[in-house]
Amino acid sequence: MTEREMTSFERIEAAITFGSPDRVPLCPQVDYMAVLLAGKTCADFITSVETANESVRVAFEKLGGWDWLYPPAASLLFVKTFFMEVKIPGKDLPANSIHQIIEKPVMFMEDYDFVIEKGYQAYKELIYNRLNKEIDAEEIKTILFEIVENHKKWEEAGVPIQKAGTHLLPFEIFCLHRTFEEFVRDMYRIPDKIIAAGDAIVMDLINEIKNSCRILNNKAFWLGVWRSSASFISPRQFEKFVFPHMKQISVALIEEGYRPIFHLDGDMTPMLQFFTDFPKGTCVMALDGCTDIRKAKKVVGGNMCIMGDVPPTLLCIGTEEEVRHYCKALIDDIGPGGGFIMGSGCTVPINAKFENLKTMIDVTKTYGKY
Amino acid sequence: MWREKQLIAGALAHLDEVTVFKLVRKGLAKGLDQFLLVEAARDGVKLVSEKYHRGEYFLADLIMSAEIFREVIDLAIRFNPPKVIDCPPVIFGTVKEDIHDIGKNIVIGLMRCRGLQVLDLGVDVAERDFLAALKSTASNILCLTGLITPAYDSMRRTIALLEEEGMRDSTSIIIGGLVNEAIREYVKADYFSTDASEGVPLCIKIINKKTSLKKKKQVKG
Ligand code: B12
Repeated sequence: MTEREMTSFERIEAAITFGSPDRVPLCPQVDYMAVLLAGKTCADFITSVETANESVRVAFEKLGGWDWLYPPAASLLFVKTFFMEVKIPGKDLPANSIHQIIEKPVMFMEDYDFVIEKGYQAYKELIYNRLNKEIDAEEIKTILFEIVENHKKWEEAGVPIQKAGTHLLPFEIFCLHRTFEEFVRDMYRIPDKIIAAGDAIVMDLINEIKNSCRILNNKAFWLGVWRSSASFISPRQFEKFVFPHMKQISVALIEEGYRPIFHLDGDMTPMLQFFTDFPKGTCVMALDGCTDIRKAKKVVGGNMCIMGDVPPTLLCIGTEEEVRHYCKALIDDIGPGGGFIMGSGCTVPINAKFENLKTMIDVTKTYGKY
Repeated sequence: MWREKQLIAGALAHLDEVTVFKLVRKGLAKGLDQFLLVEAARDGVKLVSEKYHRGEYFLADLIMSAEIFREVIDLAIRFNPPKVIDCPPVIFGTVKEDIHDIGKNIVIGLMRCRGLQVLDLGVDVAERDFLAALKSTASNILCLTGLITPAYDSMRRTIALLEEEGMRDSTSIIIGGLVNEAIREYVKADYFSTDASEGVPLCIKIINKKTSLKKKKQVKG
């Protein structure tokens, strides 16, 4: 038992490293939802770092605060730099829609050889060219500067920022650029090329993550798993195509003190055993409600901090009573022994009910005490 | 033939593309009925589908099975082009808002294999595009696929549009995908089917009925 209440920094650290947090820490990943509370539009949120930051500040105050802050301008930065076509609210979409990522083929079968030969930087250029997407380096520099300044203010006020950037494994990158169905054919027909192309870019990915962590001044980063769940592929395919690079990237970075947050969308239940392979207390597994979180607790619970998994549907259409019940059950079942962060399944949907999110936060602060 | 059928279905169920093609080519060279070979591959796809629903196979496997099947159809048609049934094409598409097309492509493959001409409009097809295709080809068979809930309203709107244009009575409409009798009634289609093998003979029956009707009309006229 600690005498005084822990700071959010201490509480998060204790949960991840299997120390003794004073209560279950909280990380509702509030993103676009904040604009509605702040009376702004999605279009503002995605174009102005200041609006994004201010909106999240309003949401933070109205909801009573939490421990680990999803970076307010994460979506803005992502939309500006991500190597896929993105439809932007206020420009390509109504001002109050959230952005949409468009999956269209920008990589072709013969490009695996290009990647193997020319490497990651050349590949990125090729894709940006095909997307007709120009990255304005000066603009990004300004955005990053503003973001870092804002993050500093949050942290000075005692609120740690969850992560630096969002990064993808080679499998995910090729799959998104090829489109899923084409990529499935590649997995059966030219498996060795996929693996070799992944091998060819993995060191660059490691450096890219380090770089973004350095710029954004944060040791934690997201590894996004969007297409590598059992909702798409088999555990055997995961073992062959995904896990080797996931392990190589994570272990290399863990050794240098970085902290992977595996952002696992989709059903990862059959893949859980792979996650026992990482050093204790070094990573976070973030679940979205599709994976059996109780099974996750059994398989990796003693080794890796689990975050999640209040489902988006529950936050949108559930009642306060249902949310209370769900969160209490999580605290009872996943909380024991530490190593648990109460989180939303993926980011909080824009149409989540305020009362539901408030309930999730309040219940954890009271019922979640150790 | 029995043995070949089993081998092909088995190889497809293992998603062993190379073996499937070897067997189909051998069968074709031996002069076996190509439609039976295609049916064998179709049995393999069904096995994959069953395994998927039991949780033994995953989405990627399901997609690959459909891909191998598509190639078997291409191979069979190339090897021995079927006698084309002389009538306007069947108009086929996945309705507005829906992009599921694995089932649609299987049915279209089987139809082509039987000599039916098909105009495939693709996925997320707007109501008026179905209408335009029916008009421009003088076709009177419309096949719609839909698997997500919003697809039912798209089907309903498409059929309502035909009604408005005075084309409903002359057009036979079959829906497939995640559908049942209640959905058929809701969207006001003529038939529903969740089985590709059922769809092909149904279309042929409709065509035969329509051509004989037309002949009768001509005689009378
Ligand atoms: C494969 C799949 C996908 C693939 C589609 C790839 C593709 N190119 O088709 C991908 C991953 C892209 C996908 C995306 C989505 N999917 Co999906 N998908 C499926 C899945 C797993 C299998 C469908 C399938 O291909 N079955 C195999 C084929 C062979 O069967 P079939 O289509 O029924 O066709 C057969 C018969 O119906 C018949 N038939 C079909 N059409 C016709 C037409 C005629 C005329 C005839 C005679 C016969 C016939 O013949 C075929 C062979 O026998 C189903 C789950 C399920 N249980 O069905 C979900 C499912 C259909 N998807 C679903 C959803 C929600 C989605 C998404 C919205 C998910 C998302 N949030 O992004 C998106 C849809 C986007 C969109 N706008 O459409 C839901 C729909 C729920 C609902 N009530 O709305 C399902 C049911 C999953 C679930 N249980 O939640 N999906």
